[in-house]
Amino acid sequence: MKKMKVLVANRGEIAVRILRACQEMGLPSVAVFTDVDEAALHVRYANEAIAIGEKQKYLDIAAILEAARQSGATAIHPGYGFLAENAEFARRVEEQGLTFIGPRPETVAMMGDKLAARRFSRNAGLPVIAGTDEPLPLELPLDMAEKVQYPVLVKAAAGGGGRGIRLALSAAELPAMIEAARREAKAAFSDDTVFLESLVQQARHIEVQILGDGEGNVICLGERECSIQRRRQKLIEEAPAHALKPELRRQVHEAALKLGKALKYRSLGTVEFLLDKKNHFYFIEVNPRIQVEHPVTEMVMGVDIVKEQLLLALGESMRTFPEEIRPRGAAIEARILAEDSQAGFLPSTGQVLYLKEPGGPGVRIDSALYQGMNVGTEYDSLLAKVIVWGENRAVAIQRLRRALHEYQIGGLSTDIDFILQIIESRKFMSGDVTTTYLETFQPKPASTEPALERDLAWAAALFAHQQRSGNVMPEISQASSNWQMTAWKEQMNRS
Amino acid sequence: MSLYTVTIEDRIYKVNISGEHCTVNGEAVDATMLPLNRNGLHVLHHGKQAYELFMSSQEADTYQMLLFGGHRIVTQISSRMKKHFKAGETCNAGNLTAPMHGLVVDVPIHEGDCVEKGQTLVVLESMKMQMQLRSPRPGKVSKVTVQSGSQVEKGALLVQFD
Repeated sequence: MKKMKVLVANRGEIAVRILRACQEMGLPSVAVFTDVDEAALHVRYANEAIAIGEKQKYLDIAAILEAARQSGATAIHPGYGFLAENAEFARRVEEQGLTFIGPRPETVAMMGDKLAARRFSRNAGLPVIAGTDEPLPLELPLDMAEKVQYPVLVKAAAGGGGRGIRLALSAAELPAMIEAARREAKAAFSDDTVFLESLVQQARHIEVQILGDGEGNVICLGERECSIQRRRQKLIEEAPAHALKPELRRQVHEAALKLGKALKYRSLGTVEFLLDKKNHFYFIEVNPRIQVEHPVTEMVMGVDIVKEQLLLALGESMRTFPEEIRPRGAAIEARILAEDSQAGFLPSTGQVLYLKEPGGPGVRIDSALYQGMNVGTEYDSLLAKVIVWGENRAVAIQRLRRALHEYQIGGLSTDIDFILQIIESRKFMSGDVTTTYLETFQPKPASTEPALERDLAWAAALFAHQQRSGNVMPEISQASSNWQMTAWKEQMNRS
Repeated sequence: MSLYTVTIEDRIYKVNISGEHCTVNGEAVDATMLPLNRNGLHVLHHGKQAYELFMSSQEADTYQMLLFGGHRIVTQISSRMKKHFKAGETCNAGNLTAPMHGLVVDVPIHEGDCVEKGQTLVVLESMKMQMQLRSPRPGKVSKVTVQSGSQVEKGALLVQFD
């Protein structure tokens, strides 16, 4: 097999994920890290690690290219976020004679311009949501606000990751929402071009995983449903999308393949759709990169997506997959975020004082956590992902519940309890959810049996008491023995 | 003999610790607890069940507990929880500070305004998320030190009120 040395221009769980694939394939790997990430987990999963400086350097094209030069890397995997959807980055990587493990720079550029992506997809024959095909002019035509069908979304042309989107409910609100979307777009993408798109109400988010060799051979690796979102950030994702009947599923896959073939798509990508109540589906956008939720596809399809991506980058021809690869069972992913669900989802920070990650049958953990790690607010709040597989959706939900109960992260708040409340809700269990489900979701506060809570109150007081008096109980270990325990009890009696 | 007041959500427990004879709200405790390491990991024997319990304290008087329905028990909905309890809450004397680094996106109040407890004073965006910083108590705004568009560091003073 041909060789390449892969630099992973990312951090966190996705960097670890990609480095694991490199290791299994015997490909030498390079990690990059900033000052705040010196002790980050991904640094230890690579054969080499290169320091690139201050915290924002993951976004610095020159710094990444310099690290590639220093380490002699021959290929760069961008992961998701940071430079993953930056066409300029892809172009400059290729100009250096390196392999960009992702789509061609032109594809990245076109899909990054949501207006261009809409036009291209419509021409390729995909159903596209009604909206303006041109950027909104700075001065709105007088009659425009009146003509628009409300509610309407104002979207940034350069948008991504749910940013630069505002909802206007009426003509009166429109100017202010355009202004807000422009401001956010300008700050996030240095481009304040916005356009209007009809709001598809009570929609499900369905996305199709595609893989192409850049020569026009494109395969579909099934779909995912990601309707559980908070502020347009996905929280729980699953595969397959159980709402799709076989014929509809075939049509959605067909549409994604049509677009992939029209683009002569190279590497891994996701075509995103909204599915409305009447089972009409509409193209939203293409994510020209690996996605956070890729493991649910891997679980049901039995394919290591990152390895396939690396094989294609090595110049291998597209592997022949069975005529139609069918999903087996159901997989669900929950994103574990550093946030305090009880305090308005405020990002939480702190040191991981205790960590116990779940295991057992059908459970996969993609995590960047370790005990002693300091979690700050420099980067995204995604700490880890719990992915489970089950023979069917109900079994997968039970398994996810079990795994989340096992997941113990001490020292900072996470969304684990909140996710448990969602997956235990009747609506989620029945699968009858849309992208606005969490807006009105009322979590039932976790309650404890009174007698147990009483004992917990005692346990806490005792712990506080020991900490204050410095009178710490001897720990149970092979070295400790009964006399230590007895001595401690006597001491406690005297205090 | 030491007395502690433990608050879990809005429930108050009076705990009396004196050696082996502990009481909660006057009733004897028959649970036992053993530390598993020096980091705050314990096993709590409550009735016939053994719970794994992790406790830590990062702020004075505030303890975080992580109760784990481990392999020894069958977990039910109520078996897992994370609680904050405070003994003697302290009030931040009329200052609203930034809980973390972020971008101020809105300041819906002005100097001289009278605010209610729970009223939004500042909207801060950090890590793709907007959070409403609310007034901890009623009062009159005496000074606003930020405006929308300001970048603030963790701990920075945002609003002062009488």
